[in-house]
Amino acid sequence: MILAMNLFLYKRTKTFLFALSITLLFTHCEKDLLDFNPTESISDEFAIVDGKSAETALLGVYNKLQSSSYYGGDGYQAAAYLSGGDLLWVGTLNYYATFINHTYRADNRVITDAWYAIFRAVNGANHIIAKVPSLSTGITEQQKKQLVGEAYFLRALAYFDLARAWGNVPIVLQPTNTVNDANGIRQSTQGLVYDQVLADLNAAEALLDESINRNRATKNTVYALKARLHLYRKQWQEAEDFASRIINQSNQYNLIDWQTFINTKNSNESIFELAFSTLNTSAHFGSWSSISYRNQFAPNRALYELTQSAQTGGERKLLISDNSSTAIPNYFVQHLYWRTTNDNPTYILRVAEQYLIRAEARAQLNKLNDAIADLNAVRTRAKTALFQSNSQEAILRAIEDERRVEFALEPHRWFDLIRTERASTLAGATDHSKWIFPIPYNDIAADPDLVQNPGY
Amino acid sequence: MSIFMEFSTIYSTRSTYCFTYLLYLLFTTFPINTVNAQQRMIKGRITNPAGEVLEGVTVIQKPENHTTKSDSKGLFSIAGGGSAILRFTLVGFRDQEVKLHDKTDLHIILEPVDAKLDEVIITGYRQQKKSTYTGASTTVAATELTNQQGAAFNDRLQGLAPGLQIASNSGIAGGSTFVRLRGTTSVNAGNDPLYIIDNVFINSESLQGVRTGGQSTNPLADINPADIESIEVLKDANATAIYGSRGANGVIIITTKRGSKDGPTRINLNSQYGFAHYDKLWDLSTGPQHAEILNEAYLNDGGSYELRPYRPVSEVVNGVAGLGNPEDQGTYDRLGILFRTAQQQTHNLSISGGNNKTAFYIGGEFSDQPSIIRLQDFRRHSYRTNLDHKINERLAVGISASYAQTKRQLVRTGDTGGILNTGIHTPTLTPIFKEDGSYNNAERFNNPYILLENSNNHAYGKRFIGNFFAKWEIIPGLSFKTSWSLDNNDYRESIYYNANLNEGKASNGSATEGLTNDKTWIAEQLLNYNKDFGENHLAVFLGNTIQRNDFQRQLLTGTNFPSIEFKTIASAAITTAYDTGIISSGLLSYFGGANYSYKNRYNIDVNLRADASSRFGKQNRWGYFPSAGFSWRVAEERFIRENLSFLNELTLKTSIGWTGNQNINDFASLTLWNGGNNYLDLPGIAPSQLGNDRLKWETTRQLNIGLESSFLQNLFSVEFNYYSKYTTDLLLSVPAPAKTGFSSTLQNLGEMSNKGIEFQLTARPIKGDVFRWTSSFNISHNKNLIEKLPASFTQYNRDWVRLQQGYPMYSFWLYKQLYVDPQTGNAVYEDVNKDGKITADDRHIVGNAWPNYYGGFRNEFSYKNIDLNFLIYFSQGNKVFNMNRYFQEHAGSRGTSWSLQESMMRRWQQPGDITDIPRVTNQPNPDGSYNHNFESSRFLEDGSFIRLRNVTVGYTFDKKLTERIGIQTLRIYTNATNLFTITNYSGADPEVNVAQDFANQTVQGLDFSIPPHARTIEFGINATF
Repeated sequence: MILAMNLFLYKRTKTFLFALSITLLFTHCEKDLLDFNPTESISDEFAIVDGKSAETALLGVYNKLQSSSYYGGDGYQAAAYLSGGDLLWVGTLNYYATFINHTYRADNRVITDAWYAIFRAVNGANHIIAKVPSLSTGITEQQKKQLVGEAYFLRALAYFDLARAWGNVPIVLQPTNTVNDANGIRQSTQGLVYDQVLADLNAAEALLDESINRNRATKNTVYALKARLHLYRKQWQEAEDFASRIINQSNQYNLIDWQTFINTKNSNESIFELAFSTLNTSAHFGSWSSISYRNQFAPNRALYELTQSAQTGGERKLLISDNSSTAIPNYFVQHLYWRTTNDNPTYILRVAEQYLIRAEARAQLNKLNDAIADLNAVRTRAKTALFQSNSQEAILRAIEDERRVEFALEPHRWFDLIRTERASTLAGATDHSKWIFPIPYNDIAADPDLVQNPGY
Repeated sequence: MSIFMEFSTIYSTRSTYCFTYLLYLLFTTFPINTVNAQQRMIKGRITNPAGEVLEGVTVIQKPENHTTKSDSKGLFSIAGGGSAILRFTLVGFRDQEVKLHDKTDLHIILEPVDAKLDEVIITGYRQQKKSTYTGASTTVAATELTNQQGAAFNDRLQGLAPGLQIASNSGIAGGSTFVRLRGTTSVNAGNDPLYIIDNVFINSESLQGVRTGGQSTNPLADINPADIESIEVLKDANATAIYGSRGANGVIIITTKRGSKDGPTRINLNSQYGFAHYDKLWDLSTGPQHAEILNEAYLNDGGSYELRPYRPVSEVVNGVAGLGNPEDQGTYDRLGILFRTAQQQTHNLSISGGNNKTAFYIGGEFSDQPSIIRLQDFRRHSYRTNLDHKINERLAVGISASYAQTKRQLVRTGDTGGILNTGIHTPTLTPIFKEDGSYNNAERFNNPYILLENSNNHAYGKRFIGNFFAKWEIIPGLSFKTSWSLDNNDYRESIYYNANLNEGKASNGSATEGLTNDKTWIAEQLLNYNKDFGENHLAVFLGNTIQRNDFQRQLLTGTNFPSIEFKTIASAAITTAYDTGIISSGLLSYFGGANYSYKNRYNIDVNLRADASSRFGKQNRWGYFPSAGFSWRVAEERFIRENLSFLNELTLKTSIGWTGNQNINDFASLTLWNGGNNYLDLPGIAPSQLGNDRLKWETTRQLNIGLESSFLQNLFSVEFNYYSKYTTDLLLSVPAPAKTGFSSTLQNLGEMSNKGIEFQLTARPIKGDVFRWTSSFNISHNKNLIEKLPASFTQYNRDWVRLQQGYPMYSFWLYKQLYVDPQTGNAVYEDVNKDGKITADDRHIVGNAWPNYYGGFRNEFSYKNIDLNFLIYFSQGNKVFNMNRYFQEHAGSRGTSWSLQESMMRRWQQPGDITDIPRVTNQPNPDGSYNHNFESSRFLEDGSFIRLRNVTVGYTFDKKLTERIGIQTLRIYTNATNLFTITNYSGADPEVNVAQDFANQTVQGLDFSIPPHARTIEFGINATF
């Protein structure tokens, strides 16, 4: 047989058969060689198919909130911290510095990265909202309500954060399947975006239970964000009502002492606390200056002194310490995100804010004594002297000052000064066009539907 | 046979059939030949026209194809007779055929030809003489490589081949190298040429899984340059199109040394030992200068004189004492601590030889190349066995196998924990020791001694590259070759940042262990047919390859260690693991081509390759890559011979072809969700990639027009090439609108062109026996342009670099600083839209990293026993963004956390000062711009340079003398690199680049904390026994 084959092939006229055999040989192998499937990822059609997979997709949206460019300790929060005027930039990346004197431009990397990070959360929520209601197997109706409700809340939070920072943003409510899916969607004004936020919060409120879960969205989380939304929109009565819904549940939500709040995860202070773990770390500790290392930003002397004074700071002196030396003056270190294991939570919604929202709403509604009571609840907890006044304006100023020190290390000040139109006086942002951030230069290049905010 | 074993695992059980079928074909078809006994012995003597005997001439008897070689007296004998024909070939001489007509004693005179034209070059899948070749390629011989410096052979090619632009990114041995052959044709799909060693398509992408801040490793440093016989650089489409989807960036074919048949066994020992030291470092300010700037910044920004920070200690204001006057400050040098004189050594031992059936080459190497910067070492052990065996007159088999182990010590260079950030960017004002004598570690960057004592970062590579081939001459002229190859590359990284180091501080110690395996299998089947019909020559070939790549990476990290004494991840409190699983891709190819040559004067080539890649969507899986070329040896025409007799050679050639690029992530066409997007330590998934099922090849069309000539008895030879490359369907990671929830998608978008010229002139002015001089000069120019790009976008984390239609790649996107206003001292930037404000709209492209031209000038002299050669390399017109200066001209805005450059001392100080360094201030200018910490074109410098790359002086002892002690040849030599560099660049070295951690280098000419190239002096001895 071998000899026969040999002779057969050895004949010159038949040599082409040899080549042909080889060609045929590998045609057999094509399937094994060219069809591979990814091992690290799954295709879109297998992503959300039942309750269990939908749950993982929802957790993925919370994970997008955890991006360091969004609520993970830098990025969006850093832009707000630094713009608020109470921080020093001590780092290497100069684009952080531009927030302090409000000279950020459209090519600012912090702004660009935050913008992309938030839309990533939006897309994740859109997938849940679009796909979960039509699932038919492996999921209960209750589970559907829960998952979709949480997704509505998360989308509301994302659009709220986009609207207050950039003003004019495109509203995308469908998941992205191809790159052209959102073509033609132009920016909506801040008011329209806030309307969408309210619509999503209403949807979430209808779907979610009034249970207690400080790490995930519940009906209570919706109330708290609604209170803040109405405050931003100067809808004082609604702001007061929704804040009350939290404050009234005093067995679950109350003002605990500062030491405990700083040291404890998921304390009664928290309404929505974005959890981090040692396996899933936050950038917060690292991006602030610590005792051993000066990174991008640190509290400035004014904020330090405000927290240390018995008049204004009280117990909040725990938040900042002075590590200055002759060699390094103005070296202040924060202690809210103190865990070196980087599992520091991000406090997105907490009880003190609800008190101060209600105080401000009541002051605006001329319920001055009620307003003072709410303000003093926060001051009492901080062990500072009780505030007294009959003047609506003085009370509003006192609330403004209280918010500055109460949220010394949380990203409120900048947005507060803009909604109260006090940013030019108190943060030196005299150019009103700088009150909203520029639309990232690179996204305008990528998206023909976008129009730059005026003044950039 | 181990390769066969490996291969059997390629296919799943279903396709084991394919494999066994092939084996069956192979092993059932070996022909058994017997030698024709009815022959006489033919004898002869071979000389050149001057009557000098020629040794080593190959003599082939036809039709039986007996072969022999002439001995040292020029004599040969071979079986033959009757009407047999003898063919005589020797490199450097014209082939000759003699019909025997029953003669038995011959005197053959071989005519010399231009050596280069007679070289056999490997083009694609066939071997042919350079004279019949229609494409553009350059051959670099071993002798040219051995004198050059560089752990990897591609470093050593710098300046030796026109069209090949090479810049090693740093002065670290085994570090990454930027290689571009005739420009950049791609953005995101890779721009490295395809490297092929002895038929093996090898991996040239770094397997580093852990970032080391601004540098990456070069996997080609796994190959011992001393084993290389020659390197063939294929440039034009006709040469590269046969590599189809892998050929768009050019092909570099490496042939390693093999034993010679019927030669004596030779043992060669080459040992060299040398020293490396830096040539130039950075000009930092002194402590007093730093303090002076800080005082000035304080005053300029409205501070009061009484409160200036550097005032006498006795001046206590508000309870705060002064820091002392500027002149009282100390200056603390860290660079001297971190740089060293490195002692480097390399030893090579090889044995080669063979008899009439078998030839072998065995090589071994040890190389130890610590860098001039501490904590950076490179060590390599490598072994090679090349074996050729003739089973009978028609069937030959062979293997080429190498194994190398590398060990690297690494350190971050340019980031928070980087050694050069410690060295360059820590202010000289900051003491290294505290007053109590302990290390001062209150700095932004690691204290130098803490870094030296605690750094623990190593990488271990193991690499096997093997090829088995069998070649069967089915009938005269028709041969079949089967070739099976494996490139198996293991890379282990072991990194521990303990709590003393900045990188480990926050996490209380952080360790990573990484294992990466990258395997490529290739099986290649090739039929070649060569036939002469009178004055016509026809060569046809047909082939098939299958390729499969498997990649796997596992990373294990641990944080929170009990103390710095605990170093293994087992003792860490928190551990995480990451495993990619096996990521596979495959490539199936068929190819063929024909070469027709008439009178060895007119040559036509046509080639076609078809490739199917698993990386693309099913509908676009196949790509077809044709090419064609034509050449005309004008000097062979009678009218030239008669009228222009000074011309020895004149060849005109042209070619056109299409090549592809598929070097993208596997599965790039699919829409994917990734795990690992967890929350509350529960598993979460999120969209990770927006698919594009229309994804297809990136295609480059290349036209080449060339001229080759030699004249005046080969005194001069010139080679000139013009090329034009045009790439369509660029595989581009295009920014997606943010509202989609993705930042980019891979699309076939955009077009790019590269046009260039290459010129090489070689002269042999003195050719005597006593004194010889050969000189070679080459110069290349490439113009890269992004022809079409709907939306421009930035690269690199600081947006320095931007891709924009109408500009080349590697363009810098900056605010153009026009001048410093002599009155105000403020920098004035170009206000492009004339709105009186400096905004992002005023930022534009102000230069690029491409040289206008680059090249090399090489000279070889020999006088009696002494040889001397040197190579000068030059690059003109390339811009370098001096990011060190960007940070260091901070004018006090970074206080005492960052050093200053001495250039700050020429800052504007008073009205009337004319300078380029503006007034020191942290405040914005009225137009919204800043004087410092601003993306200013001030830091974009001319990076042109001329460098004496290498000088070697050698002495070869008289053979009579050395033969007494049994040594055939004995040469001692000394070799110096980078003896001088002429440049206007203000940094330490213009030839540097921040190497990104990815293969897609979209950034070039960015200098940040990069160790400069060393000046080395080596002494060596080379003995052959």
